[in-house]
Amino acid sequence: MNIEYIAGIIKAVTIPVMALNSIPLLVWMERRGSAFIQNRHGPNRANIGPITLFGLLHPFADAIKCVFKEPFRPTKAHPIFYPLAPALVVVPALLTLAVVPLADHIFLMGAEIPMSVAELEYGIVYMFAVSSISVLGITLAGWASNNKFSLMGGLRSTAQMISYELSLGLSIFGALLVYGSLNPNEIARLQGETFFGVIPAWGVLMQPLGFLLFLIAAFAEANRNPFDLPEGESELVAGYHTEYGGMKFSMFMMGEYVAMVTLSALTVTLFFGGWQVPWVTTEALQATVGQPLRVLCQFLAFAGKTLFFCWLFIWVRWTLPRFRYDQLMRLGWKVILPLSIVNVFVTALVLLGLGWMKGTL
Amino acid sequence: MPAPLEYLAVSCILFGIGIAGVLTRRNLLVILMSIELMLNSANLAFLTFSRLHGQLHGQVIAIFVMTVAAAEAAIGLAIVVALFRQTGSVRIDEATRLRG
Amino acid sequence: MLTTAIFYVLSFVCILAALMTVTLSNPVSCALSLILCLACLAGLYAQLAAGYVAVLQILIYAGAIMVLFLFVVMLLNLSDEEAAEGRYDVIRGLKGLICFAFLVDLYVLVEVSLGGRIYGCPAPGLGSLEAIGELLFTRYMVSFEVISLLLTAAVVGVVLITRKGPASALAAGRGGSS
Repeated sequence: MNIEYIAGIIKAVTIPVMALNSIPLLVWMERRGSAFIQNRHGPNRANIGPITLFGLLHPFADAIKCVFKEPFRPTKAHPIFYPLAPALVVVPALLTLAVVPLADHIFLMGAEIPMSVAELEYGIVYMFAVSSISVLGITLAGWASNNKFSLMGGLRSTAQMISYELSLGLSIFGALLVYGSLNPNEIARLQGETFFGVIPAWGVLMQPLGFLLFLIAAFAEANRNPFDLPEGESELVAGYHTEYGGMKFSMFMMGEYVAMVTLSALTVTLFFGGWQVPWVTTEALQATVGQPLRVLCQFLAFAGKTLFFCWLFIWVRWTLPRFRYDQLMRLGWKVILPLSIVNVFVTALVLLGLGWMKGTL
Repeated sequence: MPAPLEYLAVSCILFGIGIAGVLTRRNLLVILMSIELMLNSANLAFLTFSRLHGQLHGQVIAIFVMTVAAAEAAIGLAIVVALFRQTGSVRIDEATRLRG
Repeated sequence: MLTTAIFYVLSFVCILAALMTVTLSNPVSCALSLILCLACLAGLYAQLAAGYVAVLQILIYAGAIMVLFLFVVMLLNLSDEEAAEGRYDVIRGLKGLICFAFLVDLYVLVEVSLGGRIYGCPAPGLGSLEAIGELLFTRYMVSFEVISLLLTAAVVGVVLITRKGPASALAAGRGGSS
């Protein structure tokens, strides 16, 4: 059997498991972070004897509770679509991670192996395509529950996600024009250079406006505060997952957190150099510490940056109040969308000008 | 790899199903969905021919077809909403008036 | 061998889902089976060395068009609406027969024109995305521009159609929020 097949299978198993294992960590971060930000006690009760581990045992207690709860379906809920909806939220979120590069290519037994499950020429488009499926799950959950609050939540999230998906796509156009590639690994590699030898040439420096717009749209796309209107608990009980409990409910939560990880990873890949360790190229790093340590360093750099953006998601959630629905729509269509289009135009003009200058000189 | 004929057979069957949907259903939404089905079967044929001749023109046309399908769906759904406002239903045999 | 097996599974599911789309009574079920059918079609596209078109298919159809369909079905709350649609009568049976005849006709046409032809050329492999882009912006430039014009026209048209009558919309100070 070919080494590439074996590596592919190993990666296809490892990466989703890693993503799923990051969920308890993120839940813990969210709880500790919210308590820290709002100046109150966080989770401190779950314990094994005297050991509480700063609340780290709470996610495990939650998981055990959710798994052992009775699966329950409301009588009027749709028999097929009601259980299908949570799966439609989790699976796309996990599939999206398939094209995110965790480190530069490695050379193993004469084969060059990419450090993502599949390296696609149009990886960024793939990410957008697959992540857009999760809207279906939320919409369907709202409809299949046969509850007016759920339906309202589902309708809201559909309108919101369609609106912001447009901005999300358009806001990265500028960055894609600069890189001239849709391959995530290629994009990460292109950010390895430095300006004036000191500042890493990350996308955020070339596309500050694009990054800002992308971040706002990403918050809306993940249904997180300040854009969590689909589940706004003060108006809609819990929005689209009002009627869900036990494992089905926790699948929605898993979908939300994995989407958070995915969007953070995408932000890092597009705007913060992906797996690049600042100031050190892959070749230089490999020459100094050897291949296994090089991969580890790059992976740690990637994971650190991604965790920072996950923390940013949590930070924003517990700091900003929720938008009103018309404000949300106005922001999406009248501010972010025109600004992204302007960003694309300006970037294209600058690139054209640079091309002409190079041509004449 | 399956022969081109097999892909085209699938395309034919889908097109037939789409036509059957357009002719026999009375719900405007389902009729629109059947039209999407027919457009997609055409796309499958385009891509099969593109693969058969080893050229990319078929893929470009398929992308165009998708764009047109998106525009068609948007307009069609707008008409559905307008019809629902007028008649309170989306059945095409209710739409008998020539002016709103 | 594996490709053939995948082809048969995909096309079987695809045709089954298409049949469900045109026969099920609840519009939401119809929309979801259509999504299944389109997803299987994306798989078939990928088999035909058109991976980019397959990804676009998921992005545009599953992500945008079908969500819009579901949105409209839910917005109008049509679930009981469909019960009023009559059962299958003689006329509809005849229509179905005509469709079947048409299908046979179509297949015979394809069979005659294509016969047992096989793929003559190798599949366009890596770098085909660049080639597609080049074709779009050179040979198909005019069509590309016309399509973008069409999309703009569609946006304006949709806003016009769904707006609630000119007087009330102007009085409310907003023009058709679609």
